[in-house]
Amino acid sequence: MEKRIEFTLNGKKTECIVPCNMTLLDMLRTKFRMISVKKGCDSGDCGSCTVIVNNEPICSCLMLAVQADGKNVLTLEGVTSGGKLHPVQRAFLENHGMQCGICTPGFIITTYSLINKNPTPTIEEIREALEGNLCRCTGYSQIIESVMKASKLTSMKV
Amino acid sequence: MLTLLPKFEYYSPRTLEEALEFLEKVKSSYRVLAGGTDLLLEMKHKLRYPANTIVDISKLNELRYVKEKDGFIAIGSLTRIEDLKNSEIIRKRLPILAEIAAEFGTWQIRNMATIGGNVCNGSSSADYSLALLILDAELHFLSLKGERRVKSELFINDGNEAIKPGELLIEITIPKLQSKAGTSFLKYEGRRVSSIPILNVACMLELEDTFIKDVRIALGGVEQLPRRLKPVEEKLKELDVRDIDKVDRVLQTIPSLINPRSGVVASAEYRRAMSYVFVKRALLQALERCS
Repeated sequence: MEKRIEFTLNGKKTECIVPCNMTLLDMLRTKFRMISVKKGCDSGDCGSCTVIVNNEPICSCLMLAVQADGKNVLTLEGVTSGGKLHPVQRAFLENHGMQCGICTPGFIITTYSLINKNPTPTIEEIREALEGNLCRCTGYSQIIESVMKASKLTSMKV
Repeated sequence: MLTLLPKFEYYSPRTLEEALEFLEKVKSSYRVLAGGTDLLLEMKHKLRYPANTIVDISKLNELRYVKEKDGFIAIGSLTRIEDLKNSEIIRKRLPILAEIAAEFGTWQIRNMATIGGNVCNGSSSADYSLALLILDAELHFLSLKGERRVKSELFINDGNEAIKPGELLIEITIPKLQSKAGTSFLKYEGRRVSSIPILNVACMLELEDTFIKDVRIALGGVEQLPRRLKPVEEKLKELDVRDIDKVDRVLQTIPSLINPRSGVVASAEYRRAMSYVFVKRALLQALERCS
């Protein structure tokens, strides 16, 4: 069974026909080439596939593509505007908030959502928000520093 | 590599009425999709997955609310766990539900998972099943044939008041706690977030002076279904909490009253021993919170 869906992807209205048994993760990667969305555990534990749906970070591996119908989906590709890095991305780059890099888009999109909701999070709040993102290189301290820097950059609006 | 889910018919009603009408006429076996965090995992393990129709009720926003009514709190079945974590009413009136939310899954999972899904999925260690057991909650099922109200215990504990074809869980109502009652919830797991617990315990305690007036204890993760420890509760009633040895002697009977499962995360013997330890800790924590 296939279904035609309409949704907003990174600010643009879009539509497509998807098999009902396809995950949102697979649709974003294969039909729209949103390859920032990574398939890690494919079971909701690692957070590498995190995208923002209607302003909330969710695991795209646990949502069906057809469920995106009528929704607003944001991937890391939509966070970057006009080839210019978002302050959260710059913060991760400058603080070396990444090692092998596969978990990085998930961490950045979750951070983006956190900073939007809470521009000046405490370390405890950062840890809590990021508990659903795993870094198997275990580079957590630089990641947390990156989030704190991102908070600074965003509140200074630079 | 694409994730291959089994093939199914997909139906996504826009209103509760539409959903109930569909459920009434659907002939094939179906599963209801609420938050999807358990259902999609199940579908990925195709061999265990029998249904060929998915009824996605996640668009029924009318089932997403927390309301304070006379003497009780009403929670819509599609209320997200993150909603419970942030709800002022919950934090004030039933803080245990917000405490559970804070330790539930991850931020991403809490944004998807619903309280109704957690309870209806029937997992042995479903955190909210335990909470509903000790809070004496009532579940409201609706079908075109009418409404059915079931005590949480009969649904969760006994399993013989299961959801009937055509029914949806629409609301959970919880009587307000006695102002002097204390509640607690403990989860014992190998890793702090996103793991299968070894066991979990919820406890409600009400005192009259230093005597136990009412107590409810629910234990999860140990047997096939979460359950109330009624024989223990009965023996605890009217004991003086200052006589901790007497209380402890009752709690020491717990290992002989349960029939734990062995599994990947813990052996039956370990669960048996830890059940006593964690019920005791939960009871002491509830005691501290009694005013």
